[in-house]
Amino acid sequence: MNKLDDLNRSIIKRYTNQPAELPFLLRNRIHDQPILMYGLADLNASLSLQDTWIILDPENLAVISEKNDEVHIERVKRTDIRDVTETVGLSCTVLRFYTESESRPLELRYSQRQRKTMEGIKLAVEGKLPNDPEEPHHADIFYRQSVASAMANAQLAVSGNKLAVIWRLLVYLKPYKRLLVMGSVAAIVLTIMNLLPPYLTGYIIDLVSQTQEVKASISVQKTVWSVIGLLAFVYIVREFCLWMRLRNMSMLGEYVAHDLRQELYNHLQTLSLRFFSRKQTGTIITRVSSDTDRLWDFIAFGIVEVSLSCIMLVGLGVVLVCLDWRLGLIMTVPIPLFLWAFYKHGKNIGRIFIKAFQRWSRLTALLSDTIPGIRIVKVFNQEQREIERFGKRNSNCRTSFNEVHRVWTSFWPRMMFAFHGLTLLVWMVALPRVMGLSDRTLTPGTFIAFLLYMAMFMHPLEVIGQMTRMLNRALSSAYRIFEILDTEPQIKNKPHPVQLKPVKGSIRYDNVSFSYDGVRKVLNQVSFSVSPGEMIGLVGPSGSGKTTLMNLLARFYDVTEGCLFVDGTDIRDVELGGYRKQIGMVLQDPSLFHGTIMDNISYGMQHSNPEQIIEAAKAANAHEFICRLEQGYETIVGERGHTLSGGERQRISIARAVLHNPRILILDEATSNVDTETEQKIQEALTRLIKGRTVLAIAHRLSTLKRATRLLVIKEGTIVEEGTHSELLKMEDGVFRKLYTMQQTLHEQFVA
Amino acid sequence: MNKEEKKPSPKFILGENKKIHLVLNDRTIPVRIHPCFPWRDPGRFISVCGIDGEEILLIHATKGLEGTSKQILQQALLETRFTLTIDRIENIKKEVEIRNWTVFVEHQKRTFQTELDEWPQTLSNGSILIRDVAGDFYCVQDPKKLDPKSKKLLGEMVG
Ligand SMILES: Nc1ncnc2c1ncn2[C@@H]1O[C@H](COP(=O)(O)OP(=O)(O)OP(=O)(O)O)[C@@H](O)[C@H]1O
Ligand SMILES: [Mg+2]
Repeated sequence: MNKLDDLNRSIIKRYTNQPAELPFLLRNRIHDQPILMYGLADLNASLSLQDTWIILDPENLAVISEKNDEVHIERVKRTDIRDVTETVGLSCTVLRFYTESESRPLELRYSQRQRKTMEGIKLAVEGKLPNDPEEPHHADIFYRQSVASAMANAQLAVSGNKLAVIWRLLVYLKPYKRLLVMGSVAAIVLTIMNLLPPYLTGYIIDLVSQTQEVKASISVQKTVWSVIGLLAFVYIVREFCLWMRLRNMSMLGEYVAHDLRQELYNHLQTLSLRFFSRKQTGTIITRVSSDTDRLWDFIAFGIVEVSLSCIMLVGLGVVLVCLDWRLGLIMTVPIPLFLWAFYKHGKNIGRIFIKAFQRWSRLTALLSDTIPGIRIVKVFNQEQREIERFGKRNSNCRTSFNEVHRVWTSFWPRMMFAFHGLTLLVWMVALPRVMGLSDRTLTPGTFIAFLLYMAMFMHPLEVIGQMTRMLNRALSSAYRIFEILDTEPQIKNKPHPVQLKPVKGSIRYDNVSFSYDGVRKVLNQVSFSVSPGEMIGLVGPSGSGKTTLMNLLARFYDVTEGCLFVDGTDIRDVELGGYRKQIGMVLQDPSLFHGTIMDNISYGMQHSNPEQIIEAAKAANAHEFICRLEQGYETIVGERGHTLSGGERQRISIARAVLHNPRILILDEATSNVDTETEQKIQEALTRLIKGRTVLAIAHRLSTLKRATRLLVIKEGTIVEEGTHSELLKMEDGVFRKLYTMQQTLHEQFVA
Repeated sequence: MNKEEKKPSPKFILGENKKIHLVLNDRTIPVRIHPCFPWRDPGRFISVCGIDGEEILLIHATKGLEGTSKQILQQALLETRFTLTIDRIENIKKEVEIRNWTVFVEHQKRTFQTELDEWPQTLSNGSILIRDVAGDFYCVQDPKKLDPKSKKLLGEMVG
């Protein structure tokens, strides 16, 4: 708790310009009462940025603003407040407190950033939040939590410390120490071996340029052969080490990527729906696929390349200075300059890349819009327009990427030019000495060795120059992966959960409220109960919260307020796995997995035998159409069940539910129209399915509703009517009656 | 067009609760207003809804309203479609998963954050709109009038 609060505090400090708590001076002004809550309204009446604090204590609501260095306090008694309203605009929300004594309401204006805090205060004033400050710093914690939440959601649980992230990544290497050690040793040896051949070459050349007499002597003959032998040895060791390094490091990277991928996937399965609705599916998939791949790249090549380049650079510098310190310095002194140039270039190109990347993502966004929606494009005959739209974005991309190419292509020649300049300098200094024109002579061998070494400079420089970019890319991948790993599953078993076996099927919603985003209430104080074996029909306009109500029963989400009891036990105390096994769901838009129809029906019941599966399909009225398919139950249905129609998919999902034999059945009827015959079939299937179970059915069709023992009518998150079909019809002005007559007229119109 | 002109133009008053009300056949009804096209055409097509959310009236243009009604409606519109106006950009810095903006809104410094794949949106009138993680909108009215540094920073993000 405290750690979270610290994090929120640092987020506010770092990312907003507002104080992380109520200023001490203001706090002192109203010290007579404990502060329950406070918030900041950051806009004034003329919609300019200006801070006004609102403070709630057990008796008063105080509004403190500063004008011309004067503190202005306005106090309202809480018992005096008769109404609070909130008018939400794009970036300005107005909160008004109406009091008994004043005709003008007290008004506060604020941006979205403050909205969560202010809504908390509104709820408290309305008496919908418990009013005793259980914790002394509750007000501060609440304020920080609500201001920081948007930011905290967007960023990560593991923000900040880069070193910590790298360290954490390295922990994943631990099980593969052997590979790591072998790979690193091979890499170091490889580097040393790379440094040897130029030296040997120089040595040989010096030997060759000796006078005939010296060359004829036997010892020289011997030396020549041993040098050649040594060279052969160097090459063999070098290639062996190269192989060792590549092999071990690639495999190491693969192991680590594999482990991360697996851990990620395992963890994803435990996370609650809330997590998935907050993140785009695409980004989650990217994390499992490309981010882990990028880390493989980093571990297999990145780390090694960079450290080797450092070793190489130092090695080269040392060797050059040892060979001849004057020439050596000419080469080594400008190195920092080169590194700086590479670094600068990386930054520069990164900036252009942002833009290119933005255009690129606009291009891919268009693709992911139009390819799955190709039917709509065709129906509306918009191919030409889409081609033009794509063309525009495509050429924008080209322009940007060409800019990138322009920058890097011009960078390289300039770099090489500078390098050639150095080479020329070396020649100018060295050649006179080699020719013996100066008194500090230089052997031709040393000179050649020197030239060979110089050619080896460029590559490590480049690698090190790109290090920051590579490191940043790998780090952000690591961040993204760890973010998921650090997300706690919100829905999980309590330490000693209650086993409900079997579930009897009595359900009670007790003042249940729920909000997906913590701001807008989708369900508001819903209460009703269901006895075992009853069938409840849920009716209401689209968006009224019917599916949400069912999501709570399946415990995809936990209630925000109130309680939900199953068989008299709070659902949060029930053992989750066993409970879900006894719940069946036929969803509004059933999705089928890629696989055979048989696999799809027996999903979750893999051990069912063919008889059971056929029986279930028969009960679901799916058997006939399945048999008509060429490959029967072994027909592969596509990733989104493309080959099947909506009604067929629904019947398969009914079959799934039948096979499952759940105690509580949740039906979310599709609104989509199916033909009368199919509807008949689905209805028959449902009738068979609901027998002997507790059923909650969200229904749009009157035929389904007639079978229900009771109907609940939901509107804007509250239950507005309850009763049997005929009872509800009798209510004058009733919502259900209105819906019913509307549907009847529609029906008659169609039939007529 | 003719048909519309014949209708008496709608009247708005501020109720004693300071909220906007519509006067309809001698009744005053508290209403909410929703501009249908808040960016491209803020002065036209205003949906006027009752508190229950059902549309009572669609105003085609605020221009047609008379005196105080027009003022009241425009004031209300100002609040509902208010966005923070950026007059200078000091810095845009990429961080892990987010982009951190430091800007000046009417000469006051304000920092806000956007997600990395949330790019500024160019409106049909040339203004640029940025939405931060909290849901606030920031607007650059006329990008051409920005100072060179801001222009350069913004130019990297818009395309
Ligand atoms: N995952 C979600 N995150 C945020 N808001 C959501 C989510 N799912 C639904 N909502 C919102 O909650 C409200 C109720 O949605 P719900 O799906 O429960 O409606 P419904 O009664 O089932 O409607 P329909 O009859 O169209 O299926 C809607 O306003 C919707 O926008
Ligand atoms: Mg639904």
